[in-house]
Amino acid sequence: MAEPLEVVPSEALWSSLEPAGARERDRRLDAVRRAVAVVAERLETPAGRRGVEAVARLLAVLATTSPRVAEGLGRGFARAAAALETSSTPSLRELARLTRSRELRRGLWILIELIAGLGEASASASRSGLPAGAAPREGVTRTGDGASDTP
Amino acid sequence: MDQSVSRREDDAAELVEFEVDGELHRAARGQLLVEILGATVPHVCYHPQLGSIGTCDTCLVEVDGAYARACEVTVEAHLTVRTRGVDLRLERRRAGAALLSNHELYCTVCDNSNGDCELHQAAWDLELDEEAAQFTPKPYEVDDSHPFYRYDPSQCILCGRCVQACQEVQVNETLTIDWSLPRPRVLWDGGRPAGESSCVSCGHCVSVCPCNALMEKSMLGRAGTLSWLGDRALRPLIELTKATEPVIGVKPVFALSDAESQLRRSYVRRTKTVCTYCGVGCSFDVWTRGREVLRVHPEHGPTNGISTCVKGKFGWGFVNAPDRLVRPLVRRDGRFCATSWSDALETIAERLRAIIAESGPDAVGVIASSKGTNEEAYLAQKLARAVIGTNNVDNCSRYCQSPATMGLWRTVGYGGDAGSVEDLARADLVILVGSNTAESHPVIAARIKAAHKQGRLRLVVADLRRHEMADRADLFLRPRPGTDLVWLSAVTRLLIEEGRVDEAFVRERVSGFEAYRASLEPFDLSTAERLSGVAAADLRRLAEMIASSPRVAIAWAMGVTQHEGGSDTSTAISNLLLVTGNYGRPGTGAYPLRGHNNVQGASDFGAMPSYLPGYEAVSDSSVRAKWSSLWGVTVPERAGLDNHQMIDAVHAGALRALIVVGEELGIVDANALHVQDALRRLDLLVVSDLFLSRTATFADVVLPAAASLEKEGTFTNTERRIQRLYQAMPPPGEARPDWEWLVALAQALGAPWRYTHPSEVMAEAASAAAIVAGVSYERLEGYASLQWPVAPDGHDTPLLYTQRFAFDDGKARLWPLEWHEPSEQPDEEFDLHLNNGRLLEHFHEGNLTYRTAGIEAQTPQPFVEVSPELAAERGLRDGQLVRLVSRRGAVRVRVLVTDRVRGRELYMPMNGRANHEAVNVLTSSATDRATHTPAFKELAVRLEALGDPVGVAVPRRNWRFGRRTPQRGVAIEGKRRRRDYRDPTRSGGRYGG
Ligand code: SF4
Ligand code: SF4
Ligand code: SF4
Ligand code: FES
Repeated sequence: MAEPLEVVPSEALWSSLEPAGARERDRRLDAVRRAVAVVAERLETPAGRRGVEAVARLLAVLATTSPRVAEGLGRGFARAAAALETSSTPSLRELARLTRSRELRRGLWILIELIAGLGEASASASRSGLPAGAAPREGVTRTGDGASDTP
Repeated sequence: MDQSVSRREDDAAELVEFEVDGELHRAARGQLLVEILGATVPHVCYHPQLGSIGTCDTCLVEVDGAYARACEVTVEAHLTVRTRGVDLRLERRRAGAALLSNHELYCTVCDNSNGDCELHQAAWDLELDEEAAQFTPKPYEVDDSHPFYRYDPSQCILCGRCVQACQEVQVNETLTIDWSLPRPRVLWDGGRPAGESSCVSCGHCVSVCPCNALMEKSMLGRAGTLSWLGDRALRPLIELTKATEPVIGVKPVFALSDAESQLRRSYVRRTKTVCTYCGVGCSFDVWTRGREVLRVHPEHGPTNGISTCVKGKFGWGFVNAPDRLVRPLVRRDGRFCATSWSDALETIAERLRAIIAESGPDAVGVIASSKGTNEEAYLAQKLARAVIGTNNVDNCSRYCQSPATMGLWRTVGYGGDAGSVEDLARADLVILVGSNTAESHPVIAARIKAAHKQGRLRLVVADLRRHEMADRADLFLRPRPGTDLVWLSAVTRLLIEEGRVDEAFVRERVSGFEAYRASLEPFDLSTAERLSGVAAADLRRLAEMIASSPRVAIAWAMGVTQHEGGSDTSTAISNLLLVTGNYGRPGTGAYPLRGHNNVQGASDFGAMPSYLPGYEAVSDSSVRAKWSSLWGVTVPERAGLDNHQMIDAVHAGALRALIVVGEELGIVDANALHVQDALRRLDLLVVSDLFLSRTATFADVVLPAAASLEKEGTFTNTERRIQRLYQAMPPPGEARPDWEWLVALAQALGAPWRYTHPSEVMAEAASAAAIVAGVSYERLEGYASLQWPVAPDGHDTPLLYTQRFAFDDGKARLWPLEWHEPSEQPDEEFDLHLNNGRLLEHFHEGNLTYRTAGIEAQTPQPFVEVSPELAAERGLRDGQLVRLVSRRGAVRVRVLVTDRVRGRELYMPMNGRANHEAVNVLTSSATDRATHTPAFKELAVRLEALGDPVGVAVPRRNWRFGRRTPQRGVAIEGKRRRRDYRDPTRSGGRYGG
């Protein structure tokens, strides 16, 4: 006679594994920190600035828009560079304190995340053998594409 | 539903020529111009599955010299259409600006900017900028009261899509726009918080909203690269975007957000899947970020299009529930120990070998899952037959659908729906028997309700309860429990007597008419009235409605099948359709509404004791020879046991081991305590499941299973439609798809199984089972689907019996019937009839649905519906705790006083997970005479009021307490009457005013 057992050893439950959400947040936070570090380092050199321009151009290509886009973004990057001139690798909180002007702070967030995202995209693109930014075109073509990643 | 599509089909033959910008075009007469023009003109409020709404004016064109909305023009011969010109561009920009005056663009940080925001695209196409659009917020708070979505009035462009979807597609009639307000907005029940309204959480409105005004809460702060930063960071970003825009123009800002939305695609994955809940078989893209389910996005599903119900749209909380099993468990020394897969499988194999050696292979049974995939059902039955050596294999269709299948086998040959859901919506008359369709098969109900609201069909409902479909019906019959066969036969007899049969159809396509007619002798109208309680006048009216409807379809569910005469009543339905010639044409036929997502497929793929895959009879030696040769074994000839017989065999000591693939038979089988007692007695019980189900608590080995989102395979829905599901995320921990461990177990038992992917299993099944001969994964790619029978060349059969019925002579068979009184009747001791069934928001016992917090909050427990008459007689109050006692057991539930039930009839939903609240503790072991499906619905109980304090049976915020606000569409006249509205169609055109 097998009487019902209600207790499952904790190691057999999902709750014993690291919660996915927390892991994902940590991963993103790390990515942002890394990206900030990269921006901070690279913007101090001419090569870095060229890199940032390349990013801006890449964005322009992705978005198939006028050179003004690149310009606009370029300005944004330049301002970010200014804000980061004196920084080492700041934490998120430090970063918020770092930029005195609200404007700069705002712009910075966008750039940081964009670069973090681009970093991820280029990492996955290099895994798949695609150049960074050569990934899905649907996103900027007509809407309603709702394209599933499924074939 | 898709009005343009159906129009196109109806008029397919008639092509007309017309001119667009000087070029000659050809299209079907009646097709909407906006469909033909496609991307040439912007269109925000138009959606092909919603039809014309006419709120946004962005689609303005000139037709024969006057301005018109392209979404309101149907194509006729010789139209002259102009889409270009500064004037039109100006008007469209004006319309677009009006939209943006109601919507703040902050796309880069918006969770809806995922490359498919339709408003974003329209703003881009119309080249709208900050200057053109003067946004001012509306004076209303964000409505955050709904568990699954939020409404931000200030982002709402008043396109009315949500209202159109709620009023005309889902037909729940919750949403309206109050055009008379100074700043119009969407209202729930005329002005209630969304979370306290009649909203059934189907999600249609959220799915079709072209912007972020209505958003799934699961998307908020999760979809964007930036939106996760939270409000404090978002507001500055919004301000920055707006500040930069005048300097660099709107396009760069859009470009930036487009680029950002592309980045999202690198970590937000969209995977096509098929709903894991009911037999409607909705398919959709599920958006995931890691293991988080962000959104379910329905659009391309062949059965459902944009439709879902609460379970498919929002009910995915179970996937990441903390009590998901992630390692195998083995019972040792009176407790469960976590162990490795190899240890678990070796333990099972060793014990199975010992039992088979001692008692033979028929001492083992396998219960396949009708939640699992077709491939898993196939492997489960193959494990039983080819590895263990027994035909003791079944699935949970035994608890619900076998009688419907039997009724169809007897009369028309195939055990499946005669056509598609589309056919139900195309019928002139739909009769629902014993089906609470709006709650049990919500998307099918939506199709029927929509056709009914649009005046395209008449609806008859026969049910004990006055549920939503009954409320909407043109004729509602309320027969006594267990008497459906009587009134169905009486109506058939009347039609024959009055010469209203389809004589040509009966002569040419049906056999056995005379014997059948003679068998109807006992079913005269007055006898039918006496036995069933349905007035003779109503039966006459029904006969008249059937005779006067060119296309009749009948759908039925558990209210028919879960009786001792379930197969016979199903047969009576099919008989009625046959004598009236209602098979083989679009809009006609028999539709048993299958319960689980894959209850059809589990049977199709052979998880039945008497049938190999494709319903090939085990008793047929040539069939056995074919499968034996394919599998390289001898398929056993001995008849197998069904679920019900397996439980009896355990009690008799003949069955010693049971392998249960994800079925909760300990709670969902009738007479649950008797079943649990059997589980206790087994020498070996193996259960695979996502959680420690009630059944699993008795197990010797518990295997952690994968959810549908975590594996590949196919499901077959109620329309015989086979669809692929793709893996959206890996299973957690060591959980595994059932097909993987079935293969590993077969190998541990010495079988040379080598499957590495479910497609190989399908290929094997297709190589031998005729009904799926042409099925392959390639042919099922993406949203493609096939309705069996599928010929080797891939041709499928959406509509059955167009030429012949599935018997050797091609003729259908009328099947004479007798009626028997249900054996369990209320008496002095057990004086009330207890009906039971599903609830919209819970699936069966609720093992999956209780793990979605929003569902649990709205519907936290089962209850018992008591009629106002009975409540008054017994002095019962809403929320009072009562004890229901049957001849088998007792449960404690709270009273919900409602006129959905009448007199001495009670209703208790089946969402009880523990013995003290599970209706099957009360139900009996009586079964359908032909199939052994439990007669769940034949149940007499007594009710004892308990003294405990009155509590809440169902929270007041539950949709059942809402008040619907029916109207046609968005009631556009309201908008067009407004003083501040300038109607562009009145303002010009070359010849316009
Ligand atoms: S019922 Fe609710 S979720 Fe469904 S369309 Fe209406 S308001 Fe939206
Ligand atoms: S909430 Fe409704 S009316 Fe408002 S934008 Fe969304 S779909 Fe249109
Ligand atoms: S439960 Fe049924 S109706 Fe609801 S989404 Fe799933 S398949 Fe569709
Ligand atoms: S698309 Fe025609 S009015 Fe909106």
